[in-house]
Amino acid sequence: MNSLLALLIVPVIGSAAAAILQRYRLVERLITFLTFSVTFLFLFGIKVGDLFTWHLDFLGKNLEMGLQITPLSIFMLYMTIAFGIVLTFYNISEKSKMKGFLLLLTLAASNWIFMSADLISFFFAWELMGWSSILMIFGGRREAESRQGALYYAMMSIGGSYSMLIGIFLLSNLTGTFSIQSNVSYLMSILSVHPWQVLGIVSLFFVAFMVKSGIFPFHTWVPYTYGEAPDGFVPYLSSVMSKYGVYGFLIFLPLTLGTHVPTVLGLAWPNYVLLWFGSITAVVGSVLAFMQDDVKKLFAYSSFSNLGFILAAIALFTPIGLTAGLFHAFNHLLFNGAIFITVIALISKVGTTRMSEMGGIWQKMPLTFLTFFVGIAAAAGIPPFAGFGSKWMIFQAMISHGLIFATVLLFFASIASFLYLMRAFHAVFLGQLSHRYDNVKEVSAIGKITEVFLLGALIFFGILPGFVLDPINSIVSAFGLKPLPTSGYEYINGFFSSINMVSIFIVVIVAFIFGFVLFAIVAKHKKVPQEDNYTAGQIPQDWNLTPEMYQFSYDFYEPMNKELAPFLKVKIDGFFKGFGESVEYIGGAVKEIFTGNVQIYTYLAVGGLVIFIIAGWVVW
Amino acid sequence: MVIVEFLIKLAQGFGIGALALATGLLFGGIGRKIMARIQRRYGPPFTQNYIDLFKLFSKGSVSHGWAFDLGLVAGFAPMLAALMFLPIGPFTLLPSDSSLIMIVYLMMMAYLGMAMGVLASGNPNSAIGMSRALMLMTGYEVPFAAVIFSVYLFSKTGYLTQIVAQQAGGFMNWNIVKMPLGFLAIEIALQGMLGEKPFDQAIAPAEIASGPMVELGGKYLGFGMIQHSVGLFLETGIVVDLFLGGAPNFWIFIAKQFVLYFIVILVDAILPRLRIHESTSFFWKLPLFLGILQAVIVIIQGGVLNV
Repeated sequence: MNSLLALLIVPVIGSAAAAILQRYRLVERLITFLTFSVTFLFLFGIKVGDLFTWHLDFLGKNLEMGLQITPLSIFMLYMTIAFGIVLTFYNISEKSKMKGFLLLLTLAASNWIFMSADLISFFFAWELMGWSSILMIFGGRREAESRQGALYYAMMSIGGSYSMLIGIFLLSNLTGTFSIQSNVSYLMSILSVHPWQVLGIVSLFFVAFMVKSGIFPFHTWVPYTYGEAPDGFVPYLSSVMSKYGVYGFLIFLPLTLGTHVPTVLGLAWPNYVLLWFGSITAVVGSVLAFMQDDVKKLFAYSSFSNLGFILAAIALFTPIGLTAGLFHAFNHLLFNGAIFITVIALISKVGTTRMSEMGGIWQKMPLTFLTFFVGIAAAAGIPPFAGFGSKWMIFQAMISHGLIFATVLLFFASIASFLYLMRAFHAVFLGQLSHRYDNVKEVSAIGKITEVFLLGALIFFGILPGFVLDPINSIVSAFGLKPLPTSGYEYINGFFSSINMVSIFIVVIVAFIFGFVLFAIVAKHKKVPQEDNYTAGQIPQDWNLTPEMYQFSYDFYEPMNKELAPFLKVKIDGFFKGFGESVEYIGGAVKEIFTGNVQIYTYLAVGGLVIFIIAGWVVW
Repeated sequence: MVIVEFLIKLAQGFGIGALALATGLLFGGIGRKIMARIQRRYGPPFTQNYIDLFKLFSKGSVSHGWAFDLGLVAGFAPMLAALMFLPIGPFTLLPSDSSLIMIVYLMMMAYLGMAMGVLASGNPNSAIGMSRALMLMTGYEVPFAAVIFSVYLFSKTGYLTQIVAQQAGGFMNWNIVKMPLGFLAIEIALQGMLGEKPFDQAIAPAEIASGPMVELGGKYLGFGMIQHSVGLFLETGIVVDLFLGGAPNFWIFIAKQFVLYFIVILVDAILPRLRIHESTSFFWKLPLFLGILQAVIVIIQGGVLNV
């Protein structure tokens, strides 16, 4: 069987099997896991340049449809399917209402998106992905809220899809073909003559991609949806599905290689605008994240904040910018996956998502705690974990263009990410352990294996980034840019400096060993229970203080609210809500016509027929 | 051969660590003495910090579990690691990796570790202190970043060693002359970084019982102390390397560091503590403006690198 087709057919077959057997949860989860694994095996059979085309006769037109493999699609396929394997493996022991067959349909759609060579396939795949994921969100922990979340997501997705559909028709009307490659090169050729036309068409596509990635101002659905989606699906939603937008952006970004566009600081101005969208997204996500009390929502904000970093970097479309963006896409997949998997493991144990109700769980779930710790260290961009290299490169890519405002804004977002990560870390794992959680146990053996694997991956790709940077370099050269120099798996070569991650890793390890030796040889300590705290002479029990009351975690950064109050007044959410309300109003007005009176329906039918006939005459 | 080289580096690394610790503790001791004299007290001897550290390491203490222990060690070890990439006078242990942003992020790992340790203790005072420390960080890191990026653009390199090398050959080549606004911004940021008044909300002794340190005793407080001392050395060292042209030898290096610390102490002595949101927004106003202005000047002077 053709490997390209297999990447689509295997998930669909698996999906059918999972749908039939979904009554038996364990079997269904095993099928999901196995299908992901088998799909991954078929990946070894494909290589760059593989092509598969077929012809579709539609309304007398002969449309060429196809699948093709570019270096970018190979990178994306490996990344997403490998993560899917880890997640579905974890999900074998997970108990939320995640539907395996929908996940597999999403996988098929995902593979199709990354391989499609024409806009029609791309649109179909995009819709399949959208709808299978929307249906998935219905099975959340809280039923009414998850329905709301799914609806919000559906509305935004539909908006994006319409925008993309209009773009596709406008474009194919101009060129007479649906092939992505020839359309992009056509746009590139007319860019200097009709810049506004090109920009208009491309923006239509970008709206869809921005919605999918949750880029400002289309970020509002992300917290609702991620917060309410079934636990087992959230990591996929945030790690994998947000990357479709990145892939989409990269299809159209090569346009700026054609010059003749006014530039800002050496950047084509559409790129400059896009970069600001990215930077603002990063800041908005970070700031809103540290005000959250719901752990899933907090990391939802964090997720699109990181997408802002990625967009800002790839919008530069320089070798280092592109490398940094793709590298961050990979790292984000990894650390966000690790964080979300530990978070859902935690939620399944404590049964709540409110952080102010948790605390002190490190004593009960040490491995989950460690994985989460390394995950947030990577997310904060701390060497030698995965996540450092890409952030470090993004800053260099940005500043090398002299984009001081955007760079400082991104740095602020990076510091603010420290705030929300520490907030989650403290409120969930540290502090006082409530007696409610006395019976909480560490995750199951499957969960432990997953966590150890993720822990290892975060360190492995942190100290040997070359394994990711090598494929990225081939993507960069496929875009016609000069890739960054490579010098071994342990090096990251930035614009201003290069660093050897292995040597940093060794230094840190030696420093830690020294620290532990020092800790061991100096005076002894004895362990005390958590009630044994310094209280300036007061006895907490005398005031009936419970561990929950003694835990400071609600409104952790309250003073910041004062500082940021003017910015928080701006409600993007409110705009979409208002839009929705006015649509509802118009819908209500239209509905008035349909009173249930058959006579009125008849008049409408006759009237419609007349208009149809007149229109037919005019057209022919 | 590789092993011998490694062992030599290891020994040198310990030497640097010990030197930095000794210097940091000495600075702390002198700082206490200066402060006392400003307040017309006699003050402790300048060796008091050594005595304190020795006492703390020899006293028994209580632990709140392994996350507490790990956190305190993780608060100190990355500081020590970051020190290995800092050009100290003419000497850098690992010059090929002395990337400035990397050092900054290693320091952040130390804060993360420290935060983990003190928060694992479960005392709400340490949680309040930590939340304040983090909020303050969003303040001072922003102007600090603006200055770092202007230095990047000005020097066209990210290696601290090369930034130092470019300033060789006399006072007029120092970055403080070429980028005075940037120096001013980073000097104000340094006040916040070291947590001295008016930016000592995280510690706030009379208010939240020393905040993060409330549960630390014995060797744990000792680890906190060496973290602070090494951090003091590292942070002033970075500013010396960035703006004061490094140094031809170790003594001049610590003399320059001391000048910076002396300014910090004087400001500390005369100003009261601000409220936390006041100090955060302060950093977003004047220092950030200075930092950005410096960057814009550098860019206008031709700092943009066309890639």
